[in-house]
Amino acid sequence: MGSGRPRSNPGRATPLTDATITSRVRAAARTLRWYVRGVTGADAYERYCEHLTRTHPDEPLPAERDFWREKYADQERNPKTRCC
Amino acid sequence: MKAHVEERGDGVTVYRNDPARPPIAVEEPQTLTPRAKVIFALIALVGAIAWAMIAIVRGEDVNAVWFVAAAVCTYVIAFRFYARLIEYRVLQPRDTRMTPAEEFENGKDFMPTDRRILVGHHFAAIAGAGPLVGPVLAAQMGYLPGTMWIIIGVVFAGAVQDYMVMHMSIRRRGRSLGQMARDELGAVGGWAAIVGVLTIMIIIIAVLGIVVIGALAESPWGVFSVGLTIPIALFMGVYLRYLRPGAVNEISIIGVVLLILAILAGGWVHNSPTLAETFTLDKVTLAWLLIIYGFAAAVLPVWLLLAPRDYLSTFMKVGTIVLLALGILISMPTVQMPALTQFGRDGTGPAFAGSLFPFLFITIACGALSGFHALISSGTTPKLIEKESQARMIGYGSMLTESFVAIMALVAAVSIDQHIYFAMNAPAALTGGTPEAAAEYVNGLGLMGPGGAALQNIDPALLQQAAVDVGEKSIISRTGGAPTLAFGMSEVMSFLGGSGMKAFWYHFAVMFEALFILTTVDAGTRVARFMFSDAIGNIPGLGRFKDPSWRVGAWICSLIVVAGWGSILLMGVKDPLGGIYTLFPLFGIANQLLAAIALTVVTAILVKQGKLKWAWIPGIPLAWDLIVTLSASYQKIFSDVPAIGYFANHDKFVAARDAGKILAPAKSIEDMEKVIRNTMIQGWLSIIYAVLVIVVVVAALVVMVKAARAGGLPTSEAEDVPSKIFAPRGFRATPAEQAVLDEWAQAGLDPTPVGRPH
Repeated sequence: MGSGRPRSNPGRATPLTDATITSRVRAAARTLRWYVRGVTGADAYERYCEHLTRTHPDEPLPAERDFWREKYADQERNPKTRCC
Repeated sequence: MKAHVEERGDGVTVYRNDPARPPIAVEEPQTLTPRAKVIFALIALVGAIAWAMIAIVRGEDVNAVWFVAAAVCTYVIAFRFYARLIEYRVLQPRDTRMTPAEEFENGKDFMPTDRRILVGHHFAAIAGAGPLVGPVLAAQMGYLPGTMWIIIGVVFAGAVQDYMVMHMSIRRRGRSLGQMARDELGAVGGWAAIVGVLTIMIIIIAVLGIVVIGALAESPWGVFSVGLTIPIALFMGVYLRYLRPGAVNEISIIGVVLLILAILAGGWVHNSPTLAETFTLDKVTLAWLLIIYGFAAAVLPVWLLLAPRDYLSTFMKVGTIVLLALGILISMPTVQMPALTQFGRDGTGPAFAGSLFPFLFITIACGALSGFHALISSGTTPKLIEKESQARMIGYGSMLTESFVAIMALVAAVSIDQHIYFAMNAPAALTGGTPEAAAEYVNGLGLMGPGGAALQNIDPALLQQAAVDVGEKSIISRTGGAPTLAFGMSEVMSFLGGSGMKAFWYHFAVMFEALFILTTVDAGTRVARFMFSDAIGNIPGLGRFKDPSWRVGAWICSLIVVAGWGSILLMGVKDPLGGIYTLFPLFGIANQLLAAIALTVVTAILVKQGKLKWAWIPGIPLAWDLIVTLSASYQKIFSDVPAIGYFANHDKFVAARDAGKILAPAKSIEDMEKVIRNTMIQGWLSIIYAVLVIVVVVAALVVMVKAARAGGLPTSEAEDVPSKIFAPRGFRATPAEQAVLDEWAQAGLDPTPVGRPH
């Protein structure tokens, strides 16, 4: 699954049927999900997998559980400050 | 390597590093279209009217909405014109260059990230409790000085610092401020900067600790619900580790629901006589609990406590800021405080000591200019940014948002009843602690309304009722800013749920401030420990401390760091004058001195690059910041007035003790000894901060003079590596940028590896 922002419809004037409203609501929900996951960093695993398949296609992907363990271990080694 | 340039008419130029691929950079003319000119003129006009309403017209009823209008219009104009001047003339970002995110992409800490996500990410990292606390305390001087400093300060100082530091870190492979200081100012300046950052971190943790204790002391509701955040965070940590790894948002939503339940449950505790008794803790007990907690949190694994609490605090932060903005816009409160109070004129206010200049400008640090942001703007965000030109929106833009948060905090504070404001923010030594004594104290202040009419005296019952309304035993002398903000928020939010919900909103605000602060205590202790162990690792024989995975070393260093801030914290909560009154100025001075270090590094780099004629852009805020902080330090060290000078106060109490007398607010000879010891430590801390900054500035001046004579010197800027990706610079793609995006789409390529903007 890609981590990019979901593609939305081109801004063409379509009649407002129930179907188009539903699809617009779905698109808006997808965009919101994409945004929230991006800001909180919940998409870190997907992004890492995407990075790995793009740059090192031969390397095996880590299991999601191991990825997160490694990520927190990294945070332990390189603490980041929070603002006051 | 030379980029391929293509002119596209209307002044648009596009660049390619690889002629076979779509463009990777777009440059557009700076001229405004006629329509844009009209829009900006209208925004400027609305802003001017709003400023006139709050600064000149004033009158008996100033509506808080004018503050929002003045702030937002000023931000828009500053972002469009001043930030753009800095971009085009001074920093000159080149989108043909790779950013560290693209060059060193590793899928983890180096990773090009969609600019709109990064803006949220960066804002969440810079926003903390600071912009909410400082403006509340500064409200004692009236609404106008604080408003002016928050808005003007951010435009010319705070946002400039964040933006420039970010740009320079991008050009230096995402190096941190400390590393840049060492590279650009030499060993002495760099060393002083690192020691400065370490000591400043210690004082900041201690003062934030005093703020949170001020909100929780004698408050069973607050202690219970904030205490529950610990098991909630632990549960979230275990869930994420063993049950559903990576389900960050799912567990965060569960966590937020649990938090709300914890706040509601706090109400039952408050109403139950036995439970209320158990959870009523005094300041000293709370300080020890916080110290134990701080140590435990810093040595526990990140996944168990820090990471889940960080997710919670991000959610709560954004949620609270949005709620507060909605609350102010919907309930449109009327300002109760005059533009300038008598305390703004004579500097005898009870919340913090000292005259308007310089002490207002160090009390409101975050929100106008915060040195701490330089630590986030360097290092973290540059490793995630796609294009150099996006730093204006992310660095300058996020800081404008933070300033807006500070304005909202100020509005919340100035729209509560003045009697209540002063009863909450004066130390117990002045209010006496009981409703009767406090009412007598505030009635004796000679308070005046915004229009200059004397306020009617209040009955002690009003103060008691206010406490009952928010579910507290007492609101008297609840210093530190957090309880006042919570009180203001409970009034602003009463449109939602009416006055019956006041207690909920009060504790909601206390909860989220406590969450922020606990995260800062934990993360700050870890960072300080890391810096400390790195520093002592250089001593022969102690090299093992440099190894971060050596647990014993980590424990020893954590203990030392916690002892550092813990002793200041205990000193503050036991201080007869109240820790906020005496220590908040040190916190502000420390933060502003960090800003001075950051602005110094930035100015030195500009001069080295031969941009002497633009050095005024960071140079003016730097000069202002140095005048403010050094004169505040000077007064704190040399003033003869005991209320202001630490050593003057020290001498006064020593003389009294030697004469066998006990001076108010001390009640015993032990109190006398405390004041004597505290003032000595505070005085020496002031000296250390001032000396460190003078060392950094002198080191920078030497470098700058050398550079100006030579007409420029090499800097540590990394080599130009040609970029291969494209992304627009602002929130929305301009038509010329959209055309380039369409070219990428037609070529069947992604303009950037992540985030496909449409």
